[in-house]
Formats: sequence, structure tokens, C-alpha cells
Amino acid sequence: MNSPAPNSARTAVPRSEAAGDRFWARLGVQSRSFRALVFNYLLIDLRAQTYAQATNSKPGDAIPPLYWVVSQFLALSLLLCAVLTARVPAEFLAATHLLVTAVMVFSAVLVEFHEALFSVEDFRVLGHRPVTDRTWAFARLTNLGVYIGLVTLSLTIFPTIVGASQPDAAWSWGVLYPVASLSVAMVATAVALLVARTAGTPLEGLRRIASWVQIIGILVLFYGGQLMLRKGSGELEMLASRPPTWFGVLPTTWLGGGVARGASTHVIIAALFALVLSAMVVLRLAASWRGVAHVVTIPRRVEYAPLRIAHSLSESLRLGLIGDRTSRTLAALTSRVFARDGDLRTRVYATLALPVAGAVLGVLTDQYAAPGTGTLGQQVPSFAVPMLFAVAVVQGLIPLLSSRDHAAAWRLHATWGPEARRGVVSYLLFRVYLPIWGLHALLVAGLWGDALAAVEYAFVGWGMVLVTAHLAARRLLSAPILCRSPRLGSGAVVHPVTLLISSMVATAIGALWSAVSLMPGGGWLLGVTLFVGGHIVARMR
Amino acid sequence: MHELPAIVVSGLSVAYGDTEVVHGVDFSIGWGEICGYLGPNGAGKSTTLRAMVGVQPVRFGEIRISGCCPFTEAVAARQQFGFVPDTGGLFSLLTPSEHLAFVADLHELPREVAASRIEQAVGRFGISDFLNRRVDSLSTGQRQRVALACGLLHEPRVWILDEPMSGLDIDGVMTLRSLLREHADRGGTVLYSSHLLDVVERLCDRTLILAAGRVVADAPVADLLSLASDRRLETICHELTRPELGTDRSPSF
Repeated sequence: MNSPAPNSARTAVPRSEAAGDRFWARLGVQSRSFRALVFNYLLIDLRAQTYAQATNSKPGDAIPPLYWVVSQFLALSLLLCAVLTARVPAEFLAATHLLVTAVMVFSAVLVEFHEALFSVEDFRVLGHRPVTDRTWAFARLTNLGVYIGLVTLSLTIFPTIVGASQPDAAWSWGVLYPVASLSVAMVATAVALLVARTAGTPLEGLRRIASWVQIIGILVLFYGGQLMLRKGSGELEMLASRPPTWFGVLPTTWLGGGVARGASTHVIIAALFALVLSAMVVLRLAASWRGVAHVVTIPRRVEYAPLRIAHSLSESLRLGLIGDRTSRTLAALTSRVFARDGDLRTRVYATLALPVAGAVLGVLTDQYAAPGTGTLGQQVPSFAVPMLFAVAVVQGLIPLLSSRDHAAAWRLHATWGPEARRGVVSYLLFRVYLPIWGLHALLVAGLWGDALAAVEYAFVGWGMVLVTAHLAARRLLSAPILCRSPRLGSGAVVHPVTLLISSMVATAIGALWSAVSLMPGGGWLLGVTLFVGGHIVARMR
Repeated sequence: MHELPAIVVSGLSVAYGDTEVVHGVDFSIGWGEICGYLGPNGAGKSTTLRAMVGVQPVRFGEIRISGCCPFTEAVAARQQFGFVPDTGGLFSLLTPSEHLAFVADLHELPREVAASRIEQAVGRFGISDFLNRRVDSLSTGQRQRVALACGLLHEPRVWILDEPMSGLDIDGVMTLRSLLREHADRGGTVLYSSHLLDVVERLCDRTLILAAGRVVADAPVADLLSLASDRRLETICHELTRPELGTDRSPSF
């Protein structure tokens, strides 16, 4: 039997491209496929895939990850410059900026740009196409390289300009610092790639750790920086003149010293090391790309124990959830989703960043006094922290609108109502946020040395949280949770508006609290009122 | 013209972790044949097809497509076949038009040939109405049309299709059926998995039935039909793939 004519056209390449093609061919890369891959990868990434997946928001509504990360890092380096410039020696300035660059690039590679390396979708779509492993690897690494370049630029531009104006900086700072920064970023990327390569399937856990490193690092820099600016009592200068021992032995400190003194040898050594290490990692990854991609992206078979729903009062108490059967079922379902979905946990816990930072700042600036004591200025954090906590709980509700376990959503459509909504909110309130609020109350009791004042404070604050959260839930959780992607349509402004309303409610309660805190028993009365109000709002249809 | 069969699979075993899901599968398919690949859910059909195209690592066995091994001669083998996976195999954020151009580049089709083939595929698979819409906004059937257009754009000689008719409307199924027949008439080979047994009955020259990771039947459709009292493929399939037969099976045909 005759077969159809073989596909005759693996064709001639235009002459203009021939020289480039020969270069790629020597590296074992198919030039046309490489160009097509890089172009389409960038196109996909600019269409906000990663951010949309990570936040379960619609791609059109989301900020592409690149813009998000770049603007975040620009702000970060600007703040660091504002804090350090003219207060610390140029060596300390360079070393700190280089260290921040290393940590941020490392975590960014593992967290934000993970999908630029090993994507499940990538393997499913391209795994059977006639693309060599090396072509695929080089395209993915080029894709990553573009991002790292932009991220490094965003972390480098301000320290380069600002550092050059430091009186004790060498004249060559403007040239040496960008080279040093790029070298540090390349080494951080290479190490992150090696970690990803070695970790294989447990990469999810590493990504989570890296994302926490990033969150905490940004918080420390943002709020620590503000604190340094506010205190201005010479502590920063002291720290810079006598840095901790661990800081002194870091390669970034050695390199920063070189940059500040104009010792180009340090920078050249660093640049050469970065180039050699990067080339080794790239070639090593390219040699086994398909194998690595397969290991990293292969779906794991996971089996779960049956869902636990509290049937008796004692079991309800043990699980910390009381209510009718529908709310208990939904609480159990939410608990299961929460346990399975690490991204969801990260997003929910990340909402605590602001109240925690507020409390820490208040304590460090000696402005965290019990309501009704001290000056009004001293009481600001004590009213602000519960308000921020209440808004954080509302923010914590938003990620619950959708989940990886969206396939279960259809089951909820039939039963959705106030009881179901109450179950979801109850889980979040009592199992996630209440223990943290309780811990906060214990710390406050120790700080104030007045247990009763701390209990009253925690009681009223929790009442504020209840009212705010249940009000917000009425607006946010009008449809079942666990949708794959919330179809908000014209209601795309629901989240910001709900957050705004919640902030206004919390502020109003905070103002009322401030007013009644001077009355004897006023706080307790307000607390009881808020608890009753929260109970009523939760049961309203 | 060709001495080697279009597809040769010999002693193929595939495992997920420690669990072997495909046990020593053997078959070969000649040029000009349309072979239906049947079996219950979880029998190992998609796993076998993915292994054949080099996406799923194999534990043991040998695979040759048009004489090439998809693992050791990956690029050459992948030029020989067109594969449409059951999951669609499309980037959700690209448009059909971008996908077609992308695939043409990956297969290194000359620009003018690529342009004419894309135009042809757009017309043949009826995707002109949603050519510039992103894949994540398309219906299942529309995605399947795009996947087929992308899978077959480079005009391969061997078509390996995993449930190609799922989600397609009547018009789409009829078009695909006629395309499969035309391809086989021109000497091409088609291996496709399906649960639409009536289509398999009318279209295929031969049927492979897989159960619990083993081939339990490999015979021309007419021969299989003659074994059933009601001359229906679903009766035969049901009989051969009953779970109570257990995993220790040997080919019945």
C-alpha cells in the first residue's frame, strides 16, 4: 500500500537568519523552534497566567506577575535607599542592597517564575512536538533570563544612582554596582535552579518556604525601614558600624566592600564566577530537561481520609465548630480545602501581615497602650490593630471564593444559604484567626501587666471582627465557594468595595470603642453588643 | 513501499511509581489501516498512547513509529506522527491562530507552506469564527477542533488520536470521520482511542481492546462482530473487559 508523501518541507532557512542558526545549531538548538518558543512563552506570561492562577482571579482582572514583582522590588529598593543613604557607609549600603537582591531573586525564581521553568501545561502541549530537549531548555531559560534581567534592573537602578552620590563611594560605583548586582542575581538564579533541579517533586514545599521568606523579607524591610526612619536614634548607624558577625562573612558583604572601595578585582571575580556557574547550571539542566520536567510536573497520586463532619456536641466542641448540620458540613469542607491547598493557606495567612506589623511597630515605638490609658497617641496602635485584624479576616475570605477543589462546587449550589455561608466563615474565624487573636491577647496581657484589661481588649476586638466578617461574608459569599474561577462579571469591583465597606465598619466601631473606653464598663458593654450584633448578622437571610 | 509497519509496539510496560498500569502490550499496525483502540476507563489506553509519542516514560518494551523510536530518535519520530491528546494539549492563554503559527514553527514548515496549511486547516476544522479568541474562552468542542487542526497541521503519516471525537458536534464527527477515511485511503495510518463504538464499528478496519493494561483482543472489526450474537461491538467489548475477569488475562483473539 502506498503511503502519503513524506513531509518534505523541513525547509531552508532565510539567509539573514543563517548565521544565527549556525550558532544555535552548534549548541544543539533548533533556532526556529527556539524563537517560536521564546516568543510564545513571553506572550503567555504577559497575559498574566501565573498571577491569575495563584490568586484564582480572572486573567483580565489581574496584574501580570512581571509588573507586580518589578513594581514591588522597585518600591523596596527605593525604601531601602531612603533608609540607608547618608546614614551608613557606602560599604554597608552596597552589601545590604546586594544581600536583598540575592534573597529576593532567589525567592522570585522559586515562587513567581516557577512556571517559567517547569510547567505541567508545557509538558502536555509540547511533549510530543519535534523539539530537542536542549531547545526546550534554552527557550525556558531564556524566558527566565528576561524576567531575572528585569527584576535585577528594578532592584539595581536606585542603589546605582543613590550610591554613586555617597561621599565615601568610589567614583566607579556607577559601573561596578550594576555588574556586581547582576552577578549576584545570576548566582542566586543558578542556585535556585539547582535547588529546583535537586528537589524534584517536593518543590511545592520549597516554593511555600520561599514565598514566606519573600513575604517576611518584604515586611521586615518595609516596616523595619519605617521604624528606622521614625526612631532616628542612631541605632542604624551603630548597626552599620558594627554589623553582626554573620553579615561580615557573607560573599555579598565582601563584594559590596569591593564596589564601595572601587576594587574592580572583586567585581570581576564575582562576574566570572557568576558566568561559569550559570553556564554550568544551564548546560546541566539542558542535558536532562525532559527528565527533570517530567519528575517535577508528574501528578502525584494522593489519597485522602474521609471527610470528618462533627455529629455530636462533643465532637463539635473538639473540632471547635458548633452549628446546624449544613454549617458543620461546610465548615468541614472548608477545613479540607484549607488542609489540601497550600496556596490558599499562604494567601489567608499572608493577610495577617499588616496587623502583625502594626502590633510590632506599636510595641517597638512604645505606643501600644491599653484603651483608656495613656495619651491618645499612645492608644492609636491598640485601636488600629483590631481594625486591621478585622479587615485581614475579610481579606482572608476572598481566597475562599475559589479553590483547586472547584470540582466539588456543583454539590454546593443546591444547598447554599446562610447556614452554609456561616459554616465557611466559622471555620475561618474560629479555626484560623481566633487562635492567633488569642495568642495576641496573651502577649498584650504580658505587655500591659493587666490580664483583665487584656481580656476586655481581646473580647471587644473579637466582637469587631465578628461583625465585620459576617457583614463582608454576606456580600462576598453570595455564591458557593470552590469555583474554579469566580465569574464576577460586572461585579468585579466586589472585592475592593467590600474591603472599603469593611474598613469603614471597623473604623466606625473603633471610633465608638475609643469613645466608650473612658466610661466604666463601656468596653464590656460594647463587646457584648458586638457579639449579639455579629450573631444576628450571621443568621440574617 | 514500506517494509516496516507504521506502528510497532512490543512488550510495552508502563508504571506510575511502583504501580505498573500497562503490562507487556504488543501490537503492530500497517500502513493504510484505521485501528480503533478501545477499553474501559483506566484500562491504560491514554497511558499507552502517551508512551508511544514519547511523553510517558516506559518501564520496558520497544516502540517504533515509521521505523523511529520516539525516545532515542525523538525529533525524527515526532515528525512522523501527529498526536492529539485527550486533554487537548493547548495553551489556554493563546489563540487558535497563535497555536497554528506556533506549531508550524515547531515543525519548521516553510512560511508559504505553513500559511496555506493553516488556511486549509482553519477551513477544514471550521475554526475561522473563533480564530482570534483565547483558548480558555472556547467550548470543549471548539478546543477539540483546534487541537485536531494543530495535531495534524504538519500532515504526518501516522495519526495517533486520544478520544478525538469527544466534545465534537455531529458536523465535527462527520468531518473527522471522512478525514480519517481519506487519510487511510492515501496510505496513512490512524490509531485512535474512542468510546463511540458505533463510529469505530463503521470506520475502523481493525480493533484493539485493552483491559487492565493488557491487550485482550486484536482483530479486524468484522471478525469481532461475527463473534457476537447480536453482531454489535459493544457486546464484545463488554464481554472482554468485565472487571470480574481479573487482571490475569491473555489475548482472546
